[in-house]
Amino acid sequence: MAKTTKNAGRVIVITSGKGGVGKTTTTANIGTGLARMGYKVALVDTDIGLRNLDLLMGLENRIVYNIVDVVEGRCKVLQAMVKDKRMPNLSLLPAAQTRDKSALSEEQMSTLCEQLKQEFDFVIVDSPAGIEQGFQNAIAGANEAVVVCTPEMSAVRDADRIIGLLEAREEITNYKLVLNRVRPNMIKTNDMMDVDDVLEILSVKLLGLIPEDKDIIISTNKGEPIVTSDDSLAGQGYRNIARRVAGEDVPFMNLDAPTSFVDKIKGFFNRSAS
Amino acid sequence: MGWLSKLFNLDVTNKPAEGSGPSASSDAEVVSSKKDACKRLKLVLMHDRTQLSQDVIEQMRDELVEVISKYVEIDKEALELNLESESDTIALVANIPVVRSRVG
Repeated sequence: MAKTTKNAGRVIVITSGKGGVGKTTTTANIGTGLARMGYKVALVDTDIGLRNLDLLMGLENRIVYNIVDVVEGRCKVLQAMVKDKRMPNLSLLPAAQTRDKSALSEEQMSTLCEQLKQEFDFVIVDSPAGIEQGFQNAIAGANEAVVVCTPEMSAVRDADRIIGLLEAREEITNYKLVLNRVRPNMIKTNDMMDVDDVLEILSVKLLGLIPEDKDIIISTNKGEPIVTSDDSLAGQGYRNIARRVAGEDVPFMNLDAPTSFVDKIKGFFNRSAS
Repeated sequence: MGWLSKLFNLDVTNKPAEGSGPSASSDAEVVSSKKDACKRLKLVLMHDRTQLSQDVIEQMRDELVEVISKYVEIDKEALELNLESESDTIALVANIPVVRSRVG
């Protein structure tokens, strides 16, 4: 499938500082969401030695080459791209599992992103946790960033560090926050920071909210990103985020969610209509 | 108020620095872990962002006392020097109770 425009694609890095807040899940879902909208999308896993994006996409059995094979010249970049099972316009460049972060340099990553954005509308780069070399590699070719954070103190503090590093980097022209694992019930009892608290503390713009949802675990088990599941609230959250990334103006979800069955049905139809 | 004027907020009435009043009173009304989290995070992030540790601030405080004491007699024990944030800016706010002037 050809790119939808002749312009160079956008390179967006998904990062967080803290591990386990949902970077890889967010990468898989934003990428799949954009592909569902018809864009040609490349997912790039830069978490060398700890690759997981292949698992979340259900593509772990199809890997032949990886990102280190590409930069070391054993194959062409398009040869290493693993095509998604469901969508021909979505593919993954897997990380190497048996190497470490030093197998990739910032220059190599930058060159790789330049190549990919000639072929794809969106290049979504999954960053490893931390602020060391792996993170520096991940942001090397990016012009935009998505900072993933949960409403927990340690995640917010680490997100603040990441935002400081992104601000210092001229190439990154735009970064926004995805607040993940929001629990409306805990917010109601004042036991969890709400989205406004986190936005104020970090002075950052919001890209989207994802409620805590057990279906995320189930979708990971199946290797099918939740963005493809029409009746899940987290899936709706990721579909909204993908549309905002593509430039649409989509209102933020109200997580003071309807609780009765009838309200749920109503809510479902309202969501489908919008 | 600019941070410089805040820094030298010489105030004989010894009222608390601006901003600390309302938040302190509302904290007392609602006890919630969320408020704790916000308060602690704001404080730790100010130190992270300015790379000023509590030790360095103590040292600054001691040196300030030394300099200001040359000109005015101040209540050294009550002198407060804190980092405070207002939207996008971080200020060093000093509240320095004056006992009497040494000059004139």
